[in-house]
Amino acid sequence: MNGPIGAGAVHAALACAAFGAVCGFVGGRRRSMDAWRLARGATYASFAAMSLAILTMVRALLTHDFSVWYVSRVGSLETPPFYTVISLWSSLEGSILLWGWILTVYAAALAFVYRRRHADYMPYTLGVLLSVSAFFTWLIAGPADPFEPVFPVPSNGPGPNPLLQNHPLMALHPPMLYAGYVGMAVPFAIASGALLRGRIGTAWLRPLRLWALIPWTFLTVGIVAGGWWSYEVLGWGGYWAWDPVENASFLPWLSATAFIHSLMVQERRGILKTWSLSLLMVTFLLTILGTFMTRSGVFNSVHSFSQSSIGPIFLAFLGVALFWCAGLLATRSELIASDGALPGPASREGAFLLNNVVFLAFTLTVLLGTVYPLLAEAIRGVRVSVGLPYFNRMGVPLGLAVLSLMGVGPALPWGRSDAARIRAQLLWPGLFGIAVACGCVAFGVVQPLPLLTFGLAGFVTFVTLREFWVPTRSRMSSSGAGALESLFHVVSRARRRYGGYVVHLGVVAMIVAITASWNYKLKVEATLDRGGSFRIGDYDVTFRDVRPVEESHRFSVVATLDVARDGEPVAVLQPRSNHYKIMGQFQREPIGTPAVHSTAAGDVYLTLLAFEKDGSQATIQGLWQPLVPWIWWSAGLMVLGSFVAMWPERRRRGRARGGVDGEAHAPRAEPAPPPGQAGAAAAEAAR
Amino acid sequence: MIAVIALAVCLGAIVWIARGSMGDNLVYYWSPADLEAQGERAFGTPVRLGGQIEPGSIDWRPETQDLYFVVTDGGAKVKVHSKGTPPQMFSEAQGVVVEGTIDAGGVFESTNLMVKHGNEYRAPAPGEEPQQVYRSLVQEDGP
Amino acid sequence: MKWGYVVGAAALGLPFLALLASGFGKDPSAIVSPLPGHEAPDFTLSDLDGKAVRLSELRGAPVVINFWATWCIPCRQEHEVLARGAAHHAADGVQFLGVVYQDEPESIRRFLARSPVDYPTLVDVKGQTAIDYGVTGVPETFFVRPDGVIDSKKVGPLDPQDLERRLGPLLATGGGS
Repeated sequence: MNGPIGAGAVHAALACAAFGAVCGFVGGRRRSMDAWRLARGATYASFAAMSLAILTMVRALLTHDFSVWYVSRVGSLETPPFYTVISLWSSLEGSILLWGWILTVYAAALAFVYRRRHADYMPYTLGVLLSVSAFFTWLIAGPADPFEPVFPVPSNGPGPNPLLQNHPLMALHPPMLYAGYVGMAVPFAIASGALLRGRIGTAWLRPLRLWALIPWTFLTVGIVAGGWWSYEVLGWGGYWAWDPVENASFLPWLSATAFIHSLMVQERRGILKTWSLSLLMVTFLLTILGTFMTRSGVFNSVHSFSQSSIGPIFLAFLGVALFWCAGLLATRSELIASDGALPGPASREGAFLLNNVVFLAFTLTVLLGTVYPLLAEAIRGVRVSVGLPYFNRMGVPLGLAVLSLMGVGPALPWGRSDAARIRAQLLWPGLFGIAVACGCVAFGVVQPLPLLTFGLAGFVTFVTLREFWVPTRSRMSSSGAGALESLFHVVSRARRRYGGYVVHLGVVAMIVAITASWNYKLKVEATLDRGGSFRIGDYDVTFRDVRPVEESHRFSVVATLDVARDGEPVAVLQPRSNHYKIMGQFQREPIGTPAVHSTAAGDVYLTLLAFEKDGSQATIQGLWQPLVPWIWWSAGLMVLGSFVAMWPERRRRGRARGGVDGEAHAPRAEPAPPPGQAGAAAAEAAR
Repeated sequence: MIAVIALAVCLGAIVWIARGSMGDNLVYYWSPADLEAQGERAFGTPVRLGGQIEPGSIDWRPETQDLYFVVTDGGAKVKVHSKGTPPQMFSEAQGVVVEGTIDAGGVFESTNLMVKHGNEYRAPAPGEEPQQVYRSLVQEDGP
Repeated sequence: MKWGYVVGAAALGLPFLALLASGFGKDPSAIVSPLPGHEAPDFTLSDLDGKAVRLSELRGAPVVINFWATWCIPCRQEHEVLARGAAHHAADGVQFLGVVYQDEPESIRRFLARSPVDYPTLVDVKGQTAIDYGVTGVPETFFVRPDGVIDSKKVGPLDPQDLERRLGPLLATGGGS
């Protein structure tokens, strides 16, 4: 029964989404509250139907209903329940089902949150969002139908791709990534709605920023979790390989980051409007391009688990979206004319613009490297791939530019500024950065690039912490409150700015950790007899034994090694190699799981490369990975920062320290809100 | 308009720089026959070489961690050298992909060795069935 | 109204979309084979009952040669696609041939008893045919035109669309025996 229920639910969701989209556009055009109400109702109904569909699929997976096509592809009786549930996103059709469901979650959330506010353009926004949703639901109903009946019904299935059932992080990485990807449709829809509506002042910028930050945060978590998964599963000791699929997730992240920054300038100064909108549209297009890259089979990638026929459909969708964006910019250009001119380059605005150019350049470089193999084959007829050195060579200077700007930007005042003031602002941070670099030399860091990175990191950290410290200190002296209380007060009065600074600190920590782990990695490979050992960094690794472990869905060969530091045992590590059961047979090629002993200074990372069949010997690769855990931790800091920035502000407040505060005080030209909306809109404007 | 031109110039410059640094970092997908056809021009070019491991050509020297083998596509043959332990299931008559460069001596120096498509595509050698590996370990560790 | 945006999007976007479209239907991980465009190496192999089949005697009809084995999991998944494709194209005169690679007759019989096919299953006892065709693993499938020239080669399991796409040029060059 699961098949018909699921398919029925998907068709119902499709009907609701299509109907809601029409209602949204009609409601926006005729300013009809009835149509707006209907559009919201249809959104909720579509969300309910998609929820039913996805729950049906989970039930089909858990009950091993192999009459459902998707279950027959990724299910197996031997897979444990946890991995059975997450196999929902282990293959194309399930991923698109999850994708479609997340989109309806966003649509329903948007419809609910703005049920009484922003009613002038929200119907259009919902119309655009539901149109995108209808497209995805149509994919699920037709070309990528996971509920298709299978006859004759198989008695068992192959189970999910072994790589995807090898680590619990698989439960986190794809949903986060999808929530980020899909969510970029929401700011796109908000901007589309506002432009379609026309003449609405700046009221739409606040929802735009919030709904851009939400998917940005998910995308950040998704990307880092992907790196972590690759580090914990693939066993090559790295976390990022510039693989097309990784790039596909990184590209919208880069452009979205640029957008979030340019939006701040737009809110505050009323300039860079077309630019911001273009960045937003580019971000949305890149998420569709990313889906295409992951799912079309056109790109050569370790992640291309599915070659599918939906590539052309996505390509067509990408084309439609592209011309939608261009048409919107073309017909509404008068709405997004600049309110003023850009001040000189030595200003906060100038730094923001430079940041945008650097991020855009980064996007372009990565995009170029990713699609170049296609270009070479189409034009020169040769088959090539772009080597890692290209990305590293291009990425390092761009990364350093981003790092420098994080330091210079906050130190520059808005508007025009004089050279003496800039010098004063940058003097101490600059000296501190140089001191950090000197300190690194004392610790034996001599290569120029890491030195430059660590020095810049010191510079940025100084600038950022000073932004916290100076107002906190003045608050302490003016109110007599304690340091923590004052800090809380300062942060809570300009959450967006301080949230942004916390994110910056996270980025600095991540760049430092990445630099250290690339430049100071140690590697040992040794074939050990029982009791034999090797030394890596400060650690001694001793081979104890190698044993088999059998589970229902796999069996594993597990090596046990004692890790000691200065003679003190610190950990017992068990790198393993797993053979998964597919169609009743054990897979012959093992999938390794490295074992990691994690400390704040770095990870000891062991992989089982080979073993003697009598268990007497094992070949172990040992890696010392300095500072790698900081990469995951700094992602936590970035998430914390965006939570601070997103947290709804309850209290009204005046302008504290007007000149340097990063909050929006752009001139507002609100039209008279529709009846019944006045109070809400006023409250909104006052925030 | 000035902004658009400035932007175009900036992005053009980036594309130009990118194109320049891509030049040396392109990895060509070649078969042994392609590699042979390139002759001396192939020296030093990063290549992803795909083919089959010639039966009887594997020479593994555990003491120095040197691995030599020959990759063939039926016609042309290329001698490959790789450093480090071969993958657990590396063996003869198997599809393989190696990344690296060919030196003037005609030996392909591999920096990355991948067993093609995994062993789903290869017949199990005697004693290599996973269950048998497993059993032999059980016997060793058995009570 | 600024049409510049639309013109810009068309100027930059359309070539990009065309570039992406150029990648369809190519397997980026495939290794280029020198065989397509050349005559298919001839072979004479026996099926499980000892009945011999010679490739050159099939000249005049399109031939699909599928290298597979029972121990190969993707081959099992592909098996049904081929069985249906063979049944569907029997009227077009397309001759399918299964060539089993490094396998035991008993396991082949067992497997075919469960999932039968209507075309000959030949046993490549010494693996000589696989070497002639440069087979690096299974499944690999060769599409031979009626004039005996290999039209294309597929590495990895076929899906129904792929099978149809590759059969197209074979049928266009005058199928039907």
